[in-house]
Amino acid sequence: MSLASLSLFAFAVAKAADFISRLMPYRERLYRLALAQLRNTNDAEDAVQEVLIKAGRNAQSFRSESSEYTWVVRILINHCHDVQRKVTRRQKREITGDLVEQKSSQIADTRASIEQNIELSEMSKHLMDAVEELGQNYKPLILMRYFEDMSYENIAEALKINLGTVKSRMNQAKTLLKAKLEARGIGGDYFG
Amino acid sequence: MIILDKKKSKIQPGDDAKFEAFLKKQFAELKSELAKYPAPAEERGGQVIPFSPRINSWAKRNAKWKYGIAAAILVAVAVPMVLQLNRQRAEMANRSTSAPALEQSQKSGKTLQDRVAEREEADADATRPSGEIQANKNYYEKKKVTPAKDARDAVVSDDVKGRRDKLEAKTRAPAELAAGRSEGYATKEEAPAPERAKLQNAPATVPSGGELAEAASEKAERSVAAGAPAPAAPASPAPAPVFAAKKRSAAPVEESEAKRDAASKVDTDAAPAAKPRSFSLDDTNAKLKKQSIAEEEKTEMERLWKEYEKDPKAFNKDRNRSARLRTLLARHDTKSRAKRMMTK
Repeated sequence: MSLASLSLFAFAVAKAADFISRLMPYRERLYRLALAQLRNTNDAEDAVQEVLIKAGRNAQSFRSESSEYTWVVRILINHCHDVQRKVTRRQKREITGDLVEQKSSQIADTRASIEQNIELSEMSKHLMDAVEELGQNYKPLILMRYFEDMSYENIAEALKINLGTVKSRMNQAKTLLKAKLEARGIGGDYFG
Repeated sequence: MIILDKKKSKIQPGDDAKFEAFLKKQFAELKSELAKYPAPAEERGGQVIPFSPRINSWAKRNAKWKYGIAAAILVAVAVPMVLQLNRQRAEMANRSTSAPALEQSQKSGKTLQDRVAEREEADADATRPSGEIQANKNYYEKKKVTPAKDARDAVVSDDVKGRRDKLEAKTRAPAELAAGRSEGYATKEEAPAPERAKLQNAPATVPSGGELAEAASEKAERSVAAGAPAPAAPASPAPAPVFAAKKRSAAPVEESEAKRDAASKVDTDAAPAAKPRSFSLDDTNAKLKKQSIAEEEKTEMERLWKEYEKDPKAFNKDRNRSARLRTLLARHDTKSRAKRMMTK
């Protein structure tokens, strides 16, 4: 390895460490966001750790167009979406019985993680389920706006889309969410 | 109103205030519920080693100096390393080059300073083309000192050089004179004294045609003897315009022929120096020669053909004559005769 590449590597490491250290105060907030989506403490913790590492690795590509926190929130939401997809796939396989017979060792892990599942109120569960069903286009918008209390401008910066697009998508997301909540029996009595 | 999905159920738009308030309230409740589950690092029992806070505090304290320290360390490591590497390379280069150079100097008996001086002299040689000279000169000056021409000069013999110098001297004087005339008679630089005297002493009366022809033929002979070309039209010293016009009209055909012959015998090196603007005479001369040769060959062919028709057998005995006739017939497009000759 030449001296120039070694120095570049050293600077990259220093920058990543600096970036992660700046994100550490937001760790708690990130953890809550992950927990709201995954509803499992272990998964949420892992997700936060992985997202911080991911952010540190890609610190070079961060262009300071938005704040660091909004950037990491976006990464976390996407990561949680991926994790959730994996979990639901695994659960489906467990239900069909394919995995139970073949890999008995993994059952213990699943049980352990089930023990870490959090208890939410019925309303919160329905709300989060409905948000989950919104999909990748609308879910980050709702979470950023109502969970993280971010402004439209910050959401636009974080998602790298226009402000007008954010507003129109938000309107569509709320319409869909309303429909999904109504389908779950949460309707006119609450917001009619 | 927005219609969604297959069921086409009518859904109210989502931007109403009540729904907004409901969402805010529900998410606030969700947050309060999640607050019961603190982050694992806070909840851990035992003695937690506060490693990350220490790092953070160190980072906070040294945030300004962090990059500076890293750079200083790198410089402290890298600079001596690079210097050492350069030194090693130089040593290697010296080792590989010094031994043959020493042997060479010992053999030749010259010191290093002598060799350097020789090298400098060789570099300073004027014949060597250099970019600086070319860059500072304009197009025409560049053209004069092009390396190709220099090389050509080196190759040509002294005899040719002498001839060229003479020619240049001849062409330069009339050119200068013509330039002076073209600028007007009131120019500062006038024609040279002998030329001026000639022009002033020129006879006012027009000489007769016979005298002019003689003079022209003499001039042509002289030019042929000297190996010089006929003076070019624009560069020639323009005498009094009336005199020149009359001279041109009165000049007989002989003069032009003499000039043509002289031009055909001109040295090839001198041609670009005195390039005429008019139509070149070489081509016309060559055409005339070809025509005359063709006519001669035709007469010869006719003569041989007559001889052949008289007695073909006797004619064919002489192989050279029959071959000559065949070639002449082939050359002058008389295929019928050639065929007849072949069949006979």
